[in-house]
Amino acid sequence: MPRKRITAVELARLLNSADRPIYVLDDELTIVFVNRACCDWIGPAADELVGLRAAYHSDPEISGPEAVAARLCPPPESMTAARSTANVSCVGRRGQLHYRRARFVPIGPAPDETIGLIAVLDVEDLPEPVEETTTTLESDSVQLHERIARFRRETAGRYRADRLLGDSPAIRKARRQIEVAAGSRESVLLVGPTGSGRRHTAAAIHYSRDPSKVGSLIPLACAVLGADLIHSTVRALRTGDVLGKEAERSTLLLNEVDRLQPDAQANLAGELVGRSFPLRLIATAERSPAELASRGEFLEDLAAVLSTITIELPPLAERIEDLPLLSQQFLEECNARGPNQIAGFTQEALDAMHAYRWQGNLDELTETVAEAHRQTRGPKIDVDDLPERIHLAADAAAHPPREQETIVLDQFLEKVERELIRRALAQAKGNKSQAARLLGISRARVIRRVRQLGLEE
Amino acid sequence: MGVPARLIVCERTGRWAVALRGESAFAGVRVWETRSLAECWKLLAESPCSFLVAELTSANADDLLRRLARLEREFPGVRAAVVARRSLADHQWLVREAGAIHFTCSPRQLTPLAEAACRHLCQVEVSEPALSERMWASLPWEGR
Repeated sequence: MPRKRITAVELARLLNSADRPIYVLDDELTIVFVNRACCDWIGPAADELVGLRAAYHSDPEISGPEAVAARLCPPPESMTAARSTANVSCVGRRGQLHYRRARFVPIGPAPDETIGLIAVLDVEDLPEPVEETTTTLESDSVQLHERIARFRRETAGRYRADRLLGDSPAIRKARRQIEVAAGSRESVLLVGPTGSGRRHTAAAIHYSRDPSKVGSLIPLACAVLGADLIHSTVRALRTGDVLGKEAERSTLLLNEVDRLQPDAQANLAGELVGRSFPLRLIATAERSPAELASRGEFLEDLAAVLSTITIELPPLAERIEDLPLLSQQFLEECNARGPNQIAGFTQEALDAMHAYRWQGNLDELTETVAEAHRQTRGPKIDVDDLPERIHLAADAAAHPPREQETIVLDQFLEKVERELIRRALAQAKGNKSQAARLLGISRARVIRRVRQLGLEE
Repeated sequence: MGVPARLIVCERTGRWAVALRGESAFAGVRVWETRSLAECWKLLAESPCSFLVAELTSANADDLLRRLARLEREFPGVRAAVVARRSLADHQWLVREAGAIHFTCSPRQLTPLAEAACRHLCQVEVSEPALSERMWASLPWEGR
C-alpha cells in the first residue's frame, strides 16, 4: 500500500483540527501560523496576525492585532530552550485578561541554531483572574475627536501602573494616597525629587477615570514659562473661554510650582485664591510650598489652595527594593521599541544597580536601562552591559570632590603656544610664512619658537 | 550626558527656524534644524536636555502626539513646544495634553516661546569642564 504523503495544506488542516491553540513563530518572532483554536481564543483571524511580531514586552500603548500579537510573546530564553513554558494572554470580550500556559518548542537544524518556535497552549484558561481594562473606542467622524479619544485611551493605559509599581512601604503608601486623590476633585500636591515620577503620577490621577469621561490635562511648566503667559493661560481656563463644558472634567497641572517667580505667584494667586476654578488642580514640586511659605518664599494662600491633598513621592534610593520590578518594566518598554529582545537582568547586574545612588531617580533608571539594552547582545543584561557610571559609583563615592584647580601659568602658556603653532603649521601644510600670518607673528619668530619648543620634525 | 543642550527645530520648510532666529532672546544661540521627527529624535538622543520646537502638520499629527507623550519618559530633560499653521489651531489643547509646554500658530508671536526656551537652556545643568579643558577646547583650528 503506497505511503500517504502530507502536504503543507494538509498539515495546516491537521493543526487546525486540534483543540489546543497552536501558533508558530520564526526566529524574528514573526507569527507565521495560528491555528483555529488559537484564533477562537484570542479573537482576530489568522490572516490578521500572520506577519506581525510577538515582541517580548507589555506595552499598553499599542492596540488592535499588534496588541494581540504582543500578548503571545514567548520569553526570549525559549529560543534557546533554556525556558520552555510561560503564560500568554488575550483580552476577553468584556475587556478582562485570560491567561493560558504555553509550551514552547524551538525548531532548527541544530540545538543551538533555532529558526522558529512552536507554541502549544493549554485547553483551559488559568484560574487566576487578572486586572480589568476599560478600553472602548468611540467612533467619531471628526478626525481631531478621534485623535483625542485614541490619545486618551492610549494614555490611560500607559499611566495605569508603570512608575508606581513596587511593594516598598513608601510606594504602597503613595499608591493609597493616589487612589484617594483619584476619587476626589480636591487639589493635589505631589512633592518629590526630580525624576521621582511626579508628572507621571499627576497623569495617573487625571487619567484614572473612564477614558471616555476624561477631559484635558493641561500642564504648565512653571519653571520656564513667563509670568504673563502663565497668567493669561490660567485666566483663559478660569473664564471657560477655551475648554467650555469640558473644563470640569479637565485638570490644570502646575509643574514645578515651587519654582514660580514671585510675580507669577501673585498672578496665579489672583486667579486661584478665593475664587472658583473650574478645573481640577494638581501641582508638582521638589520643595513643599507650605515650607517655602513659612520662610516667606512662597505665597501662603496659594500654597494652601494647591495642597488640599499632599502626596510625597519617595526617591528611588528609599524604595530600592522596587528596583528589580521597575528595571524589568523599563526593559520591556525598550523591548517594545525595537528588534533587540532582552529577557531581564543577571543577579550581578542587579547587585551593581542596587549599590548605585540613583540621584536622578526613575528618570536615571530609565536612561540606564535603555543604555544597557542597547549594549546587550546576550539574553540578559549583565554587569558589563551597564553604563560605566554604575561601575564607577562605588569608587566615586569613596573619593572626595575635586580640589580647587590650579595651573602653572608659564607651563600652561607654553603648552598652549606649542599647540597653536603646531595647529597653524598643520593648517598651512608646513608653510611657515602662512603659519606666521595665521598666528599674527613674524616668520622669524615662528622659526625661532619651533626650534625652542622642539616642534621640528 | 555628552553634548550640551540644543535648540532643535523640526519642521518641513524652515520658516519657523527663520522666525525663531529673529527673536532677540536667541541672539547667539545656534538653531539646529531637522526635517523629520526621526532625525529630530536622533539629535535628542545626543543631547537629551535640549529644547525642541516641533511643527505639527496634518501628516505628522499622530506621530508627533505619540512621540510627545513618550518624551517625558524617553528624554525627561527635554522640553518641547509645538508650532502649527492656523488651520490646526484646534489641536492646541491636545498637543499640550501630550506634553508640549507651549503652542503657537503665529511666527510673529514667538517671543514667549523664545523666552521659555532660553530659560530652559539656562537652567539645564551641564557638567562643567575644568578651566584648562575649557581653554583648550576654545583653541582655533583643528587639533590632532
